[in-house]
Amino acid sequence: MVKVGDKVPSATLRMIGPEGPKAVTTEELFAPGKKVVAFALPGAFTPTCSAKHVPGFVTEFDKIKAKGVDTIACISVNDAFVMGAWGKDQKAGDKVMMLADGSAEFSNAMGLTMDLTKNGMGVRSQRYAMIVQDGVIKDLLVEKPGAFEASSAENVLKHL
Amino acid sequence: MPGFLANIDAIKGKGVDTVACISVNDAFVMGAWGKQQQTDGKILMLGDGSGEFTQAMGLPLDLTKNGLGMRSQRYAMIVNDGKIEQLFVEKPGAFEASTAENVLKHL
Repeated sequence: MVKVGDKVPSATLRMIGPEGPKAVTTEELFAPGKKVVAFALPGAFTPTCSAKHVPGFVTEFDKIKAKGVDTIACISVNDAFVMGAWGKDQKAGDKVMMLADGSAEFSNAMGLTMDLTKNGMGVRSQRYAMIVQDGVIKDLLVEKPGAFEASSAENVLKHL
Repeated sequence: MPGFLANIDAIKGKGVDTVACISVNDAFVMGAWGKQQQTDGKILMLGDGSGEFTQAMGLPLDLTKNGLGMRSQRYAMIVNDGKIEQLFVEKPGAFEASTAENVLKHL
């Protein structure tokens, strides 16, 4: 698992655009000079993620931005089509980048996967949030299994 | 999907008990998609989130390089008493054999 002080590992994420899915590399997302809040979760349209995790970041968007954050990104092991539909459903609009890690390349590189194969969900991402400055992880807030505290928008705000 | 929705009455009229849609997505995603497509009461939206069924069928499709992981090939089948009577597997990228219209012709 990555730790505070590490550079965010290289991976290609995807995001739905007007012409379909487009690649977003971690080098672009966490570019030098940028302060980014990224949060990851087990799945689009799942109860906690839909009811609490994403809505929290949408609600706290202004406060987070006021702390000098350039980008807020949500990452999940779903494909770009699902993440796009979920972003629409959540009215995440242009507030939260809905990034797909459909092949779990990023989640594996972070060392933060969770095997939900027995639950019929395959390999997913653990729930966590991180604050990244200049491509380096400044804070890493990983949830205990089933918990939803550390990675909430409210808690991330306290660390900004 | 819209093809099976549009032809649901014709398909049911051929004595079909259940029309099911299977994809390597989880049940939450399949549920949300069903809602969006208004499949309620017409098509069973089934999540094969770990690809267990797809692997057992021997019909996976590796889209890892496209950021989609391991998925299912596109196909349709007619199953009677648990036995596959017809299996229509599409060629890569095609959408002909597995359409509702083509399935109807074979019922």
